[in-house]
Amino acid sequence: MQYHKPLSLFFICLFISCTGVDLIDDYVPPVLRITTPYSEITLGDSYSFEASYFNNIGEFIPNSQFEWESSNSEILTIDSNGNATPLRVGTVQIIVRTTSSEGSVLQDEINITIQSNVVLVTPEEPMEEPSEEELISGSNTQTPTITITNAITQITAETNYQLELAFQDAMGNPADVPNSNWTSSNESLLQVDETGTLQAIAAGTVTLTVSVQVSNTLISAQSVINIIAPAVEMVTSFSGEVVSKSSYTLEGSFTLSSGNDGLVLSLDENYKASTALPGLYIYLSNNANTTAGAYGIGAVTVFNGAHSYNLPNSIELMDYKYILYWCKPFNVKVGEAKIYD
Amino acid sequence: MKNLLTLLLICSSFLVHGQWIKEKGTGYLKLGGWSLLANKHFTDQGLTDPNSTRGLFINSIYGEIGIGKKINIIAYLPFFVKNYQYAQVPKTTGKVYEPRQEYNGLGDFNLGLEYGWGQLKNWKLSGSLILGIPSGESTAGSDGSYQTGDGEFNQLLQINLGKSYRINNQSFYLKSYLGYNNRTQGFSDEFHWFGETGTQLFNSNLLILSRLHWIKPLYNGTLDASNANGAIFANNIESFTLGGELAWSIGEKWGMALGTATPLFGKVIYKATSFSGGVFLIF
Repeated sequence: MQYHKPLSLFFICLFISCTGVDLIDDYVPPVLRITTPYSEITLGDSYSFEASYFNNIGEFIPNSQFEWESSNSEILTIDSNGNATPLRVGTVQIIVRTTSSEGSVLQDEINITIQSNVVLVTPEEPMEEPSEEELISGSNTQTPTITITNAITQITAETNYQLELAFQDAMGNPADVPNSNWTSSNESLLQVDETGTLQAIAAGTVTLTVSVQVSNTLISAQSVINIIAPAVEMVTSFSGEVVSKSSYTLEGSFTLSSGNDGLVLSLDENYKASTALPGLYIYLSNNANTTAGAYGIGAVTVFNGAHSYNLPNSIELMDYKYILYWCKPFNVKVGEAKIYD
Repeated sequence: MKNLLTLLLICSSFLVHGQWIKEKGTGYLKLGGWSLLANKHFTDQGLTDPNSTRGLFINSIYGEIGIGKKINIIAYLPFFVKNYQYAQVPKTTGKVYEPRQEYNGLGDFNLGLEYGWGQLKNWKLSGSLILGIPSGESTAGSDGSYQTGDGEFNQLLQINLGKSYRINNQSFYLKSYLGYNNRTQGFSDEFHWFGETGTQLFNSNLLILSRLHWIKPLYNGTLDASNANGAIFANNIESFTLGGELAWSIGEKWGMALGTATPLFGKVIYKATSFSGGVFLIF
């Protein structure tokens, strides 16, 4: 057996091939993302905006420093912590910036529409006639009047509004407003301070009364105000298409939506996946190239037709950018869906 | 991408190595090693997709022994199967996020009988029944995919034809078989076709041969990902494999062999070239 040496060498070579590594190209461009999906807010309240920074492997980096900016500070102001105060009705862009670990400046922006939080009394809809009590005499004089010059019929709950008064004296001339007394018929719905600042609390209908004492005359004005629920519009769902990134069949439409008990990922009736693959799993990830750091929803058990996955409350709508279908045993991406751009 | 297919292919290359029906008390034994390393596979559509690098390393004993005038015992015993996957390392961080994994165990044994029917004109005719014993692990390793067997008992029935022929005074042999593999546990049955030709050189000290092996599933199985909890690694596999081998004598009884095989096309099978080697004894 003089050939035992080369034979042994051959077997050793075969065995050595059992060790090695696969290098996974997991780089993705770092991104900055505004994760508070407001699309419409109202005047009279303040809003807190948040953003998340994901590094070059799609990993969320907590406690990152951000720089916030409003495209029009006359419409909306925003401080360094992302707290925004709308000032006027209009459309404004909120911009956030940070510097990535690679030194590049990252930016994200969203467009916000600011709606008025009140409905003013229109000329065709005159304010309710004020009631008045006259306790003085004198036939050549007019009755002093008090008027709310910016009266409203509706206000959005959880917002504020400043009412203004105008006063006419007994001669019919404009005069300084005497000390006024504001009252709300239901302070659990609407509160008002001594300057006429309204604070709408909850939905309902309230009668607001303002009165002034002129000599012996108590003059008052009333306004019936309807308080509606907050009208903040937020994005509550994303839809898209699952597409195959392999030679295996995988297709269908999806919707990721906010439900009462957390997010729900729904696949539509047109969903179809190959049953030839072993170990097909579904993930949520910020890196489409790897499942490292991804959230594993679980093994795929439905390969045709509509079905859904209930996600835990800890996952927010914009936490992940991709849905990944992955052959887990062989570490291969089968398909993906982009949740949002 | 199916490990068991590769096992099957190995078996096929061993199972047909013998020459005709052995005389009683004579035989052929081979101690072999076989290795395959693959980072791509044929999909169920017959296209090529990548996969993490997976490998199989097998040590086995193959034997054909004559137990009667017309009957041989055939056995393929993979006594050591290593199924492994490379560590997964991201380029960006360099930190291993999925370490190297492997599972070692017995493979599926094949035991069979071959009966010589005699001559049909110039052809030697025989029949074989080979039983696939599920001695390996059908789910193994962290996710069940490091299997060393398919977990099913199958019966491969073959009709074997062989003949000798000459080209320019050089003698060649040709052997082939048609087979039907009845598989159980929801696996699809298979049609097999095999052909091998070879010749001896250097005073019959060197045997050079080439093989073709076609496995075609009948797609009559019920097993798929929707009902198998992921253990579907060897169903509906198809392959058309080209192989070759060199065997040379070392003395009167002993010899060494080196072989290789590669799938020309297939479905649900690794797309990689395998290499094998071994020591054989003819007695």
